[in-house]
Amino acid sequence: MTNKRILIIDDEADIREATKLCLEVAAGWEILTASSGIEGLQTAASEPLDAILLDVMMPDMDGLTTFEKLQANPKTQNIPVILLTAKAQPAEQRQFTQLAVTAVITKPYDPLTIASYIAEVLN
Amino acid sequence: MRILLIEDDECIAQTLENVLRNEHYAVDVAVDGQLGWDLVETFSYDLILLDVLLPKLDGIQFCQRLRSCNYQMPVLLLTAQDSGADKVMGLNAGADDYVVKPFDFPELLARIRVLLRRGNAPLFPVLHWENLQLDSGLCRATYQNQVLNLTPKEYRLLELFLRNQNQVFSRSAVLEHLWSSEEVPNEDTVTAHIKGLRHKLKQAGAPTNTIETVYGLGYRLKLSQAESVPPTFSGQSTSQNSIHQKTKAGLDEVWEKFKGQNGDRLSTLEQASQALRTGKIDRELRQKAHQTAHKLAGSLGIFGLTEGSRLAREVEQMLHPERNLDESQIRHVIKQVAALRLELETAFNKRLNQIGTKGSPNQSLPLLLVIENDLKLAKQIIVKAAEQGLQVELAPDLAAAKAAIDGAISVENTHDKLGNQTHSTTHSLDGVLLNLSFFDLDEGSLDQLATLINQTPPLPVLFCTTHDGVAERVKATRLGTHAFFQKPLVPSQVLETIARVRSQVCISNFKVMVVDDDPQLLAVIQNLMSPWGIQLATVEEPLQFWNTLETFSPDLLLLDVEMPRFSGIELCQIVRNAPRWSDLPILFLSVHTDTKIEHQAFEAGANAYFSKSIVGPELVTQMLNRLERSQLLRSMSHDG
Repeated sequence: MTNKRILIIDDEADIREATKLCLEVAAGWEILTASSGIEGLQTAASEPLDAILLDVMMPDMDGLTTFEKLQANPKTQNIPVILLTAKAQPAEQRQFTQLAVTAVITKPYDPLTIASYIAEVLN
Repeated sequence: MRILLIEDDECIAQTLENVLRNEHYAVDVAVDGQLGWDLVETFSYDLILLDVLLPKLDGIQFCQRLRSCNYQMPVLLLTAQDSGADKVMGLNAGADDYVVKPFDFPELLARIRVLLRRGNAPLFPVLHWENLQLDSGLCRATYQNQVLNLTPKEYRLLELFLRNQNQVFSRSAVLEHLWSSEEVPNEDTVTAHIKGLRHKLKQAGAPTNTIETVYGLGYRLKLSQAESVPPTFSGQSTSQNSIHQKTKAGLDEVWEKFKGQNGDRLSTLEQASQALRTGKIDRELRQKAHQTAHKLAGSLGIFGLTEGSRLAREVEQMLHPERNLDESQIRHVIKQVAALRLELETAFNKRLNQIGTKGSPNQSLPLLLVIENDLKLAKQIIVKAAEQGLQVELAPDLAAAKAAIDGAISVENTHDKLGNQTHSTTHSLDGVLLNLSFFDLDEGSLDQLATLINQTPPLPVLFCTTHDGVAERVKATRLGTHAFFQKPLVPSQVLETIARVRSQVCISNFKVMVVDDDPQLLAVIQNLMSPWGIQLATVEEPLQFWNTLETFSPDLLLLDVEMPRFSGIELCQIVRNAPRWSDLPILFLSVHTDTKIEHQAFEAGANAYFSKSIVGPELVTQMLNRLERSQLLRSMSHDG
């Protein structure tokens, strides 16, 4: 797989570390992490990135607000964003797919295939 | 396929049961709605046949409760000819279809097949697996067009695997799907049927182990070589396997690192569960528990706990702040939280109170130790126990059982005021349910078990076993067991028995008042009583007697005869003269062995008279006998 730089924004440390591990081991990508929307916006604006994995439910600044701010910033508006969500209700899922995000991944995801899925989506 | 028939008309129920069994379905019958509900909560069913007019819980309410608790199995209503309103109400309540009495059996069976087809396991008329075929319409299985001469159970076994390709079935899962709760086969029966089926497949030319054993898990159809390699996106299967292994190992490390956090999360859900049970949950706790369940739902599956994620998701949905929960839904949340604890414990084969600092058992709730390696059964007991406010600690093997017992018992050596060394044993357990087969292993284990049972006070111990022989019953009785069950167990019966035995052997709520001017004797009695957890009030000064009697309100009174100011006999008389205390057991303890004094004591209303030379275990036994008899008389007068 071609080398990529991915930013994971998730307030839950276990998910952040697990996702980082899955992508590093399976795809060898370089993974950056942020534990909040604000930290994620700063990293996204200062680092070259191929994609952002963005959790939806976060305290302070939730994923959808973070996404709006990424879209509003010329430096980050073209970075593909993949939402990570544990929201299972169909109405919420429909709401997410109507956004200009690249993909939506539902948690819990399959740790053995998430890297191949992201590679496929980004290609 | 397992069907639950809920029908109060015994004639109809019997006929339907026969028809369904002839079609090789496993059938359980419940004669009222409440019993049906208990079975639904205990076993898993592929379909429910439900009469509308039922005692205790009618079919419409049953259906509403079923759907509100997220049970998804299809429901076929059995309605009377002129009950159009029932059909509409039933379908609105969540039923999937209905048939009208009197039944046209071919139509009923066809509707059952249609509903089963809609379920999670699609019911195709002809099932295929490589060269194997199973025609469910003709009830015929073939390998390369050669008919397999299968017994009904072998046929259903093969059908189960073909309908759930790639799924591994443990022996208990096979029992659950193919046998009704009234049948009592053990897991060896499954092994025998698997062996028979394998033999017939091999005879027909199928590869060896078409049904393969997955070590430690169960059985499934053997994957072909092409399918057994996980799908790759690098095309290098060997390196792919290595990647998977590295990923899994890495995830294990991440889990280890954050397991305390998950223990705390579970603790939050248990707090909410407990608060729901007592009706004292506040908005803040509910909101926190809802968010916590959301986090667990999203994370556990990543670490391999798919069932844990599913349970957490259900809890999340039920705890949504805008949702009002009725009583049955609250019970469902409590059960799901208990099941979640078990998932976390069993998945990592550890006691959860070692995982999270806040995850240790709640000291205020009774604790039941279940020594059982059938995790499915253990899970059923745990969820039922949670509903009744009991905590369960699970020991899935002998080592875990020993650790749990050691951890629960503490022995304290002390000296009384007379300088004699005494030791008291305490335990934090309120009951033990034990699979007897564990203790077939060695005599040392039996000794340990005997020590466990013969505690002070006694610990309620219940045995269960798949074998119902005289030898097993004698062995259990010799060990001093309080109840004996043959499998299969119904969890509600187990818990009822534990509650009954606890009430019989547990005397820790009893209160004893001792009046004696000898402080040394009072100290000796205090030491004798303390291991039993009996509440004790001691009175040295007879002037304080009446106040203490009224405020302490004892269940038994122990009096000395000779004391300053008032004698014990006078105190006994004033007690008997008060109607409130006319039934209070009164025992005398005296240095006097004069029969005249003894006679006076009995005339004053004493129930027993002992010499002080018996102070020791014999006195305790006498007091306990009196207390138990008094309790029995009280309960009989209440019942009367």
